[in-house]
Amino acid sequence: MKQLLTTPSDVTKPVCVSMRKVSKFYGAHQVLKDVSLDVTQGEVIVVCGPSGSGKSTCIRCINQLEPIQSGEIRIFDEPIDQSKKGLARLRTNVGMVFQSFNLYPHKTAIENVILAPMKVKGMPRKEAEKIGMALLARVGLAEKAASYPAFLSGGQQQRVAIARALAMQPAVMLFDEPTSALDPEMIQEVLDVIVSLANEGMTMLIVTHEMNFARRVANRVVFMDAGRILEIAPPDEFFTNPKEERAKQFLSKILSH
Amino acid sequence: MRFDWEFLADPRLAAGLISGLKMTLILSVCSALGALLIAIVLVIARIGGPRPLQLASRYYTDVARNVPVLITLFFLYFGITSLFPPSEYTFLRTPHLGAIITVVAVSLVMGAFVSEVLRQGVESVPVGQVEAAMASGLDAPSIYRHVVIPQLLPLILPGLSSEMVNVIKSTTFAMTIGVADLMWHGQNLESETFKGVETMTAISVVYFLLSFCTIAAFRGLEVIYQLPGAKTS
Amino acid sequence: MIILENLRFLLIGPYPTGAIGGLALTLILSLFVGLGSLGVGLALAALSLSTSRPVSIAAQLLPTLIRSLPSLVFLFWLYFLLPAILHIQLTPLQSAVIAFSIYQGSFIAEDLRGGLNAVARGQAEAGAATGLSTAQVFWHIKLPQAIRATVPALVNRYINMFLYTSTASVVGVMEFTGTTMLVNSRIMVHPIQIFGFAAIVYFVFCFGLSSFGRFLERRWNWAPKITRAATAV
Repeated sequence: MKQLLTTPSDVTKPVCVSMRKVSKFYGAHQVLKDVSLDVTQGEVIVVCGPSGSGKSTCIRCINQLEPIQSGEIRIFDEPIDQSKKGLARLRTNVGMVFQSFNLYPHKTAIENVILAPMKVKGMPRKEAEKIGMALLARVGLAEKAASYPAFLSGGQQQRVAIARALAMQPAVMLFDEPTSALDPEMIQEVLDVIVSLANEGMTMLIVTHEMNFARRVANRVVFMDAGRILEIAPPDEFFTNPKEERAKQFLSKILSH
Repeated sequence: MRFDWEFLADPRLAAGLISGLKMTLILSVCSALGALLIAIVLVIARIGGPRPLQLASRYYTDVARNVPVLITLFFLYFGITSLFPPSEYTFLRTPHLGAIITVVAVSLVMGAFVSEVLRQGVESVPVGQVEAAMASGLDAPSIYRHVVIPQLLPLILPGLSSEMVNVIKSTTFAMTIGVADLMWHGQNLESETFKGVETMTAISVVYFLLSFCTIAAFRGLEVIYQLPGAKTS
Repeated sequence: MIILENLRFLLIGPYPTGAIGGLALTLILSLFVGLGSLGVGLALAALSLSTSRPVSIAAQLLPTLIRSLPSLVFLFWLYFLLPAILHIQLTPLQSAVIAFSIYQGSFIAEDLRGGLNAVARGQAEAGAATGLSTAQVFWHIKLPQAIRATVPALVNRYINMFLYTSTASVVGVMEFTGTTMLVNSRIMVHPIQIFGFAAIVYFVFCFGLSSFGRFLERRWNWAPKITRAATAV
């Protein structure tokens, strides 16, 4: 069994997220098979693979939106506490950005951003608004703070969603195909925000089909197929010289058009 | 035939209409509240309860929606007065027994219909909304209060509007057990004055206005609670 | 048991020594009202598409007014109105058939119009783009899809129709609810069994009809809509 590069190269930084032999079933169907991965602080992992490979399911297990049946997931070397308080603490530490943005339509952009800090952390409104406005400025949308999602473009909505996830000041950010639901001309503005987050040292796991973006931003690329991790490699290695047959097939299809 | 327009000014008609309208309004409002209460209980049991409660809620809804209101009303009225004859159980000797039983019967039946409206609304709130709220660490009560319910209201208001009109319609059966609602007064006036066409026309107009006002009120609520950026049709 | 002793009367009324009644009459009544309402509904829907604006508006306004009334009120109104206008005496049964046909027909007209509107505009455009005339587009493309879209609503409507034939008992028609009431007033001391039996019979028929409707839905792959959710009392 050849050795997958599950442990990162930089061993001086602490391990943020650690998955060990994680398996998940939907009924009788196994969607994750013995998934193991360590993510160090500051690392950017891009997860890619054909649809149905389990990549979204994999990161949704990290913040327990999906439960796992076997294996272990640790955050900062602590096992996940399944109690209500434990899960709340976990989700304060781990933020998520969804493919369909999921902004609350009945709240303005700034209200979307400050809801969780106020209700979960008990932050007073003024303080939350200050942080929220700073984050909206960070993603380039300070002037849209009072706008409702229905009046924002897809790219703008997703950037607000990123600000919303950052509002809890997480240690790790999860991105589930953040640009897959966007029109082509809006993809770049969202990717630029993610790249700037990476440059600031945010630990991130990103499921995406954007291969050029992956080359720019990833420390390691994880290739999944049929619920298994088949290959883990630094992007230069992975994109120019993939070792697995399935990875080669996948890349040839993706990069051809 | 000659429509007796002068009868419309007859004080007996006005008295009957006013008295009947009062009773119909009381029956309708109380039944609506009762139905809403029962509906909320049914939905909570159906969605969040343990399996036996879920099944019980489903079966209750299936039964209640497939029996005519008239039968349910008679079942309750004759059943209760037979099991607890007012001659023995003095607390049942209230003159409002018929009205109370009507409210109970209509609430029980319409509660099932309203619960379906609520349930379909809850299932229509996009699951991603709840996931996003969960992912930022919000607890269940906060999720319901800040994320689900504001999006639920515009979804259920149209359905609630039609069920509310059906509640008003269901109260008309109360006349069969002697409750002096609008319909009862209509029939009573007809038997006294033999002006059936005029009386029933007047009664119809009043019921039409009741429906119209109800629908208009709910449309107003729909506009107030609509999501920003949604189009009103 | 009381039910068994009176079963014949409950099921077919005083026949053959009198007119047919009981459950048999309920079924007959439902059949006639089913046909009559379909005719009324189709006529109103067709008229609403008329090129003459006053006709079209009237054909949309009339059902809206009728639908806002409780069926009992409409029944009483026609019960007095028809003899006065037509100068003939109508039996309660005849009044009920006519009243319910018009009443339920108003709902069917609305369902049909909804079905026609539900056919996506792109369909008509695609038809026109291949050279079909307006009439051809209507007959070959819109109407078949409209009918498929309307059938679930129609099934719900027919189930409702069956249940609310019970309303006719209030004007003295001896259908199933009527005979049940009569038996109860004769026996007096076992209302729970008597009305419980009636409830069970209605439930079995109704639930059976909607299950059959859902079976048809699945066979023909329609989006599940048969729920007894549509109601008019």
